[in-house]
Amino acid sequence: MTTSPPRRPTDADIELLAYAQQAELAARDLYNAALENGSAGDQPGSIAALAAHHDAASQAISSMIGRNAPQARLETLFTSFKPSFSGSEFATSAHQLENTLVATHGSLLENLEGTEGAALVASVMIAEARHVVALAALAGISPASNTDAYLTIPADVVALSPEA
Amino acid sequence: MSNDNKTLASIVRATAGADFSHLSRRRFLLAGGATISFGALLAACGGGEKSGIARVGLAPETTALPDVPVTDITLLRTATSLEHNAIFVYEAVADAGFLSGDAAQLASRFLSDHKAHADATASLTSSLGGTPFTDPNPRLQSLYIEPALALVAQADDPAADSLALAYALETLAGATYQFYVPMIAEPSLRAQAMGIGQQEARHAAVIGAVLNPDRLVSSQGLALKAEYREEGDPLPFYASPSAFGTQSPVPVTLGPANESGSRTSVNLETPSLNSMVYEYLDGE
Repeated sequence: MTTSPPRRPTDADIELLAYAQQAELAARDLYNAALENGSAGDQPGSIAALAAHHDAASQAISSMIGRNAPQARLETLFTSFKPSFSGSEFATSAHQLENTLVATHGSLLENLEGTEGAALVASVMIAEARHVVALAALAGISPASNTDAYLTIPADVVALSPEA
Repeated sequence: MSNDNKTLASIVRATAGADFSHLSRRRFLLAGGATISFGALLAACGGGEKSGIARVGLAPETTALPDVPVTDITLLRTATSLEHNAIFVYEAVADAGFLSGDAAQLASRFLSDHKAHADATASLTSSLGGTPFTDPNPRLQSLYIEPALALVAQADDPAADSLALAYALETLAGATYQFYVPMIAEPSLRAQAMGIGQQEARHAAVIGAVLNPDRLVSSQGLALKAEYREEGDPLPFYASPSAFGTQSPVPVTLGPANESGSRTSVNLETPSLNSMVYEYLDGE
């Protein structure tokens, strides 16, 4: 007989979701920094919307884990992407960031036990997979000649992990 | 003419003149409920013996539906069936020659991806001890896919309608895997399902980026500064339409305009309990 999975996040889930919230806040701050330094190209409205999406994801996680939510960005992620989140590198760097987040959420799903946390992460993962495509287009990559840049996670992208 | 072209042609003939306005699963359920209620009334008025007097309360014995749980195997078989719905659509559109150039090339890639996804979900079904499903989801096929393809075939611009249908179908496919995540018991299986689901979402996003390149990420529903907001009504296509994956019905407008200039709107919805591909239904 199989046991139904728990609905609410377990203690281990809360740690993983807290980490996910930090990653979302780092992404939000990176896009806001790009807007401030004028790197958003000819679609600043789309970049502002991406920042708002990551903020919404962080708030949804915060609602789920309450006072366990760190409410602080993942500093290592922010500092590693910050130098390339400006100028001509911005769109390709943001494309890599979103692929990294999709891979990270996929990795978290392998370990989340509670169904509510898993459902939320899956929902964010869908949105961020679409972010990848938006940024590939913004980077000027042709979907016909380089379709993989739109549809696959590059081999060099590594999922973030709280243990790393 | 290929088999698929024959299929498409037969769909067009069979549905010519039909009105699919406001087509949605819930409307069908309501209509079905009314039909069932009327059937029960007729049954109650009948009887095993012909007494000549109609009596209430002599309905014939009915067979109750089996109480079957939705297992991981059921979800995987349903996912496979949905992949075959997508394969059917892309093959029909390719055989009809509705798309050309880069659009045809992308559709061909999406078709290959759906075949790979169908193989993957079938393999997972087998690994759990189930029997893989190998056909399109019969309910979704008759309720959405065939009427939608018929409308595309009648459209003034079949290429644009093919892309609109693909956008909706891919969005629905991603939403279906997302919908299944809290229903799947095994965490590693959830991750594998979303590995496919996120790629379906990317398919939809690519079409959105191609159809609406000037505004890739929608501002609808977001608290943004006025300078970052879109003006006017939201458009039907975006690479990124929202901050979270949707579970809402996916609307798509297809087919020719009627006398008053309006076109048919179809709402695609994720497979619910009555669209699942339960193993006990095999062979029925």
